[in-house]
Amino acid sequence: MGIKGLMKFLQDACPKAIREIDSQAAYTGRLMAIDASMCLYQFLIMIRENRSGSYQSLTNEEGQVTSHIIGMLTRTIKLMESGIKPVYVFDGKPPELKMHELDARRAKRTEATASLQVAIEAGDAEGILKSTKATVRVSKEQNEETKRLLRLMGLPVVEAPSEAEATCAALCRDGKVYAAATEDADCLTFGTKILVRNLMAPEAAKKQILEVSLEIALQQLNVTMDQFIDFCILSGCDYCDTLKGVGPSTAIKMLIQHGSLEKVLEVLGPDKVPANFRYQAAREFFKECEAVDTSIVDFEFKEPDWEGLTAFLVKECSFSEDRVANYLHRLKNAKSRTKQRPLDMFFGAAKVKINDDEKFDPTKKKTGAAKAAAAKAEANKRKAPGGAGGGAPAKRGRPPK
Amino acid sequence: MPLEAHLAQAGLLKKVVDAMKDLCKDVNFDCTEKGIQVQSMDSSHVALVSLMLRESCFAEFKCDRPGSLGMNVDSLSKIFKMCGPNDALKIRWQNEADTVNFQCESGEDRISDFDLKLMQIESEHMEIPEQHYKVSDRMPSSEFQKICRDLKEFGETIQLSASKDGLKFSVQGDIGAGNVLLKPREGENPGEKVTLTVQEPVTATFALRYLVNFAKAAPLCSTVELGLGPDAPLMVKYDLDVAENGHMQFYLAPKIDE
Repeated sequence: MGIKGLMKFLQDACPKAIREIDSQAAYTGRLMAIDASMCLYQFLIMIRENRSGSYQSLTNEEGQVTSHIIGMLTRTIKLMESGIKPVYVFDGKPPELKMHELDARRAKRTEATASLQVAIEAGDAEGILKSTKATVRVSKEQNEETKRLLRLMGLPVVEAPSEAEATCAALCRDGKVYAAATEDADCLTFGTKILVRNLMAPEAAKKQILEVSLEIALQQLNVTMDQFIDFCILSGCDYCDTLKGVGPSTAIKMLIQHGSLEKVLEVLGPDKVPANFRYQAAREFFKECEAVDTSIVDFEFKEPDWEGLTAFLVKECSFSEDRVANYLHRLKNAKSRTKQRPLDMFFGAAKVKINDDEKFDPTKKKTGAAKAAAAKAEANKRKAPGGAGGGAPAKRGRPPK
Repeated sequence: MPLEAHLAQAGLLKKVVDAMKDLCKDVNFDCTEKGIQVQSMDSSHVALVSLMLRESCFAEFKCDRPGSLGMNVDSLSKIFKMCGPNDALKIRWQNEADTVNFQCESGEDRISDFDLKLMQIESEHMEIPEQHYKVSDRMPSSEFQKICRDLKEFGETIQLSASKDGLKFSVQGDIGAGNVLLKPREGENPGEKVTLTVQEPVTATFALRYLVNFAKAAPLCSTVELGLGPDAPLMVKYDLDVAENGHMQFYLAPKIDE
């Protein structure tokens, strides 16, 4: 679930680091690293039919689930129609540090399986949907099928050694992609230069696309990367226990006041800090950012294997031939759009300057943040009357492995 | 008053806004004592408009303090619908005011005016490095517009290839493929001539719909100048009648095969 409350905090504390983006088209010609495992999970949760009243996933003739295939196909075509070159990154082995978190999620799923039974017996449709969603997990086969689909579409597939977030971050840090598109804010903690949220949110959800720049965030928060990592650990991350009653605002205040994470823990005392608060391991994990070797990565965007793709979708997934032909036609046109280059590739990007008085000050942050938020709201109002305001943090989850 | 600018003919700004309308939504008009400047990218960050209205194109121009006035281009276009092309236009901005005033006079007997609300726009100012084009071409602006419009019917992508023989516009689409070859030619006035300088042959491809948008600036000037280079953005430039008054310039990033 990333870092607790981080996006909201960044929006208040360093508004200059966050830009509202009008549409996907703003990333025309850009390579974007995308956490595929997270996408699959979303598809399996969201893409369902309800003819039988039990919210079943879409399946092929043999009864195998195909929700993830149709989801990945349509989402990817849409991205490419906006000129984006997607680079999907799949999760590898979950890190040992996350076992605790994963155990908790597994427990939740077992609980959901139980409540699903209850809901079915009671005929409670809403309960069935809710519990069914909570029991979803992505199987190894589904991961492999998706990789096959992407390869048939001529797209690169990256298999992360560990967390997909970490590899997305490393690819962006080392200039292999323009940004990491994910809802997981801890991608920033892993060091991605640019994080894009809500890039693939359905239009109906009306979520604002937000672009976060790590460099500007550090500048405006006036902290180093090491301090930022400690700040994230204090705020609560997936890789060690959380501190009760400490969120981002308290975390940054204490960190600046006491100088180091160790001091903060000392001040908080054993009452608040769990006995096994393994912050050092988490810190190492973020810093090390276990990822693919970016120096040998070279993404290839090939011509799709049209015949192979048709066979896969029609024969194996039991999609209708007409629909598949339509998707392939769209893919063909979209392919030409991804050849467009952005202008700043030739002219250099525009620079953002941060004045000293705009730097984050934890002591008077309430007024500062309120003022900035008010100014932003005002600007939004003028820009788009009745338009959506700054995006609320998106809900997301991830299945245990 | 920080800004007071009088135009003898409103038509100039009207044409500028019409040419900008399909590319950008909200833009900053950066005012200095030298004139008014606009730089804006389209939403996909592929094309850039750069406008320079020098002080000399105004009948009267005064700007005491540099400032940026953020405006919505569609709104501007609506305001200029109120003015005839030969009306006199006065633009006024009071110190710290959150509106800018446009006043339009047709003869002595009708005066219309409008206070437009200003917007806060985060500007992304790009430094454009000096470009040395391997190919430059000057042709009648109406001809450029016709070629772009004609070819748009056939496909999304246009290929420009320049050699000593001439400048070739090629397009490919579902129904077939076609070319227009434009050779250098002499003419009595600039609006008839085609001049082409080729230091080395260049071939590049572009999204055609942007060129169609750029070509809408044709009413600004009888000729248009194109600049092409290998692996470089295309430059399309219109002077405002004469070069001394300023220019409206467009850049478009190429499409590149993997």
